[in-house]
Amino acid sequence: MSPIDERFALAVALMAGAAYGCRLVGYLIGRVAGQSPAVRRVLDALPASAMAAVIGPALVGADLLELAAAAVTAGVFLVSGRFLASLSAGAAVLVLAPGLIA
Amino acid sequence: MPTSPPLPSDSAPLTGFAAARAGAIACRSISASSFFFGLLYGAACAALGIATGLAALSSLLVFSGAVQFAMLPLVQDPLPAAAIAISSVLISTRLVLMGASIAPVMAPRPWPARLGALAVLTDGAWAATIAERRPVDRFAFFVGAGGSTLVLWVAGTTLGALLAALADPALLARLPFTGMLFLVLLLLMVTRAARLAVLPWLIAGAVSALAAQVVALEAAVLIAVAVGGGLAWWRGAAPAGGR
Repeated sequence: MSPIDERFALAVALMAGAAYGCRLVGYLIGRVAGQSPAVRRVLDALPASAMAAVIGPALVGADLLELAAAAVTAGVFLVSGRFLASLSAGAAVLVLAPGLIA
Repeated sequence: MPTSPPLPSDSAPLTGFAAARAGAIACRSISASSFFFGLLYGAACAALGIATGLAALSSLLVFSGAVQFAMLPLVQDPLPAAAIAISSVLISTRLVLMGASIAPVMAPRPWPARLGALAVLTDGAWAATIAERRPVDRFAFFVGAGGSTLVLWVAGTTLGALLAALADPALLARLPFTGMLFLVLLLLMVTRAARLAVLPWLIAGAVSALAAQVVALEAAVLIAVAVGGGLAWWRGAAPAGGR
């Protein structure tokens, strides 16, 4: 197993534990506690904040092409509301634009 | 949003395999999207030098595109294990809410079946099951919806990793950033579908970007999530029209 595979295997174990753990904890909460508006409000806000917290530093470190791809992805989604079309448009910018520029 | 083909009004409730098949059909557009994302994810893994089998195994075990895409850029040397664990939990917190919501669907089944079914809990399967209004065995419907998405997600990952060997290395070097594109889209989609306030996550993103300049990424993520969650709580607790 290569060094990257060893690191990735550990990352997979951490990711799988986190994802399944959250599913299980949610199910157990649903069984015993129901859903209060206060809990729902925090649970709604945390994932979006976590995603933004990962995106923020990545965008700061991104090059112009990556920023353009992100802008196209977001723009297409905001206009069309179509997930797959938006991702395709952003990915197209990412992989096709360098060839067009050259 | 998943759609369900109509059943004749005099039809008997769907059970067993028929219910699972109905779930797979209702979730087909999301499953197709998963296949496409899987292609990108598999190719992005290959671009990093990750073995095809391991990439497929990650899709099988984690089954969360948001987590998998977001964590790819973090597979560095040394591995920031704490950042990966914390970020994975935080990004997966919506699974907590979906798990709580889906609890009544699981109730009639034995524990091993419930624990197994939880492994296929994703946004798409949850949305399709919650939206289903026909007389149907909702547990089997849910497993069919989630299971079919999982199969296509793993298949897409495997195919993407295999096809990446034929691609231009310069192109492959660009692919890991598709994880960020996916995350941007997921954030916008969740914000729109759940009518979330934009300000808390916008502030969280800015705080994380600034904090990452001076502290480790895991600390920056924690600080940003605390700020975003706190802001959302504060806005929710405020009198109407106050903020």
